[in-house]
Amino acid sequence: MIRPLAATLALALGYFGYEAWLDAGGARKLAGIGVPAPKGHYELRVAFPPEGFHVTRMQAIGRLIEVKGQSVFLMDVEPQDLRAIARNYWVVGVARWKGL
Amino acid sequence: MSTVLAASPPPMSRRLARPAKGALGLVLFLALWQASVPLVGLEPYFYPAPADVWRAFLDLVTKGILPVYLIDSIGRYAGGVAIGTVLGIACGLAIGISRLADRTLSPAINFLFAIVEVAWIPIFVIWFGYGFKTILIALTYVVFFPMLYNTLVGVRTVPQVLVNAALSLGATRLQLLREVILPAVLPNIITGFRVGAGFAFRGLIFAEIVAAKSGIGYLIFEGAANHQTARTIVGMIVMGLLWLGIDNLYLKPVERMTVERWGSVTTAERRE
Amino acid sequence: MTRLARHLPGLLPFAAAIAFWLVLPQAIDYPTYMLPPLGQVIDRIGESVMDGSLALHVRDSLWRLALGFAIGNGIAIPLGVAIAMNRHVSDLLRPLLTFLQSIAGIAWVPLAIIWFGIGMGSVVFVIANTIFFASIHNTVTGVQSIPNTLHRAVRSHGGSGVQVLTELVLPGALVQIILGLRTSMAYGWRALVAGEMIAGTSGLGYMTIEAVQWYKTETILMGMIVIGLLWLALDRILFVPLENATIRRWGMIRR
Repeated sequence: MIRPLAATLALALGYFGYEAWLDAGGARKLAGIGVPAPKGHYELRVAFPPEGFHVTRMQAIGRLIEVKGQSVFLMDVEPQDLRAIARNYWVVGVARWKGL
Repeated sequence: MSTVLAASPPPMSRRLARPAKGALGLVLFLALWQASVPLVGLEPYFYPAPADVWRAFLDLVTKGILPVYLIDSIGRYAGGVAIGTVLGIACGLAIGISRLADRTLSPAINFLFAIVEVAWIPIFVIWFGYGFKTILIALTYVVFFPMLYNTLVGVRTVPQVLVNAALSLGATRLQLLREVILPAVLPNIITGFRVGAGFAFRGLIFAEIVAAKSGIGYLIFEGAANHQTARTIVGMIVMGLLWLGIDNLYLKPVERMTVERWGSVTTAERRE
Repeated sequence: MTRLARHLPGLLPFAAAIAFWLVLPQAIDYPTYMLPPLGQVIDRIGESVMDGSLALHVRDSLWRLALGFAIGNGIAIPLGVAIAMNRHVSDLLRPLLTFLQSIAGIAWVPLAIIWFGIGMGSVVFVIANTIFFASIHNTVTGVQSIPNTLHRAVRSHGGSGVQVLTELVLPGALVQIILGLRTSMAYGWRALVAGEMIAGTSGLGYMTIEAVQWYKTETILMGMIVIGLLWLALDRILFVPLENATIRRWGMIRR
């Protein structure tokens, strides 16, 4: 019985640790933003040319205007969605954008 | 070749040698695979090399795709298995205790069971759409039936002598359930759990191919659809490792526990 | 009279389901595609039988199953015996085979589509793949479960290698192999339906999932019923008599 319990414990610890690490990363990336506007415009930088996987998730939280190289420009993003997307470790930087 | 073993080596070294030989087998397989790539001479999307697969794995991790898919798959799987197991045992016990209920419902249950779980996916999609909910329901269903079936069989085969003895000693229905039936049924429940967990794992991958937008099954499908076959193979390997984990960390220890305490368990191969 | 009375309770759920099915459209308002009236489903079955489309799908499905079953077992059983005869080879290959068995079947469908395209090739490959790994595991286990003492006994009586194979190994492992046939068929059947749903161009699985796009739920229900009945028929008609004629008669089954 010990192995299933130990495995579950390890998985749980791993999972929550991972989520906490993501939260910390998100907070760090958003530190320079200040207080996000209710419908803000941002430039999200990723470490690689974004794939469908990433574009889909970004489209879900805001209006995707342009993908330039390794930057994605979004408009009308709400604060909690911004926090959610900034958590992802494949987002390396977030900057305010003046929009169109 | 078995005559070579006439001078049998001491048991200890044999036990150590066997996993080493197995590991060697895996290494040889990978080596042959890598070596065959230039010989086959087809493009990577048709016949990826282990090196391509490794690169795809690193790619999927650095881009954050694999962790998300993995978490989604595990969540669906754990949820479905948990709910299906509880429902299956509860219904199995409830039906099995009453001979009349058993006789009434068994033919219907056997018929529904004959409609293999994969065949229920289309109607589930019609009823519940695509996505997490549908997959959870599908997995719950897949686990429910083997659990129900095996629990029923277990209840049916509880020796009547024991039941009568308990009743004659004034046991209430609840006491009968807890003290006599439950311990007797436990090996069958464990078998049902093992079968259900196995079916659910295959069902997970299938449901994700057909009805999901994330998960290991979806990764396997998406990789092929985008001609990124190395990703498909990453998905297949992760799937195998995942099952390895489930089987060795959960299923086998639980089964062993029952054998130690109650001394008998029929292996999953004998019950479909 | 008593025979009928014994079977009567078993029919009750079916009767209740049919009654419920007939009453529901009258009682509640809901979109028809969720649960088409029984009459519509029966009509669909009738027309599929009449125009032969159902028969075609069934034939295609069964043909693929038979092919996959033959290829899968045809390779797995001899190979399994060969592997199991040599302790070193089986130790070498066991973990690899176990790992591959855990992903056997459905996970290979996308790869099969890349290799063979959509259609019969992919589906048969997936079925054969599933059956191969299920069967080889059983065969190897069956051969290895023959006690070493019997091996030595045959040898000490002057038995050659071939005689060990034909007189000891094959009969000894036969029970496990026959049981394995039934299990591999069960896995193969699932692989058939699932494979046809993803990569098929005909067959029961294909027919059932194609109907989802068109919201033709009566076709889906028809598909499910036929799949269920067909499996019951396959299992009861093929394997129960086989087991009765062999394993049960030899007194070796534990049920």
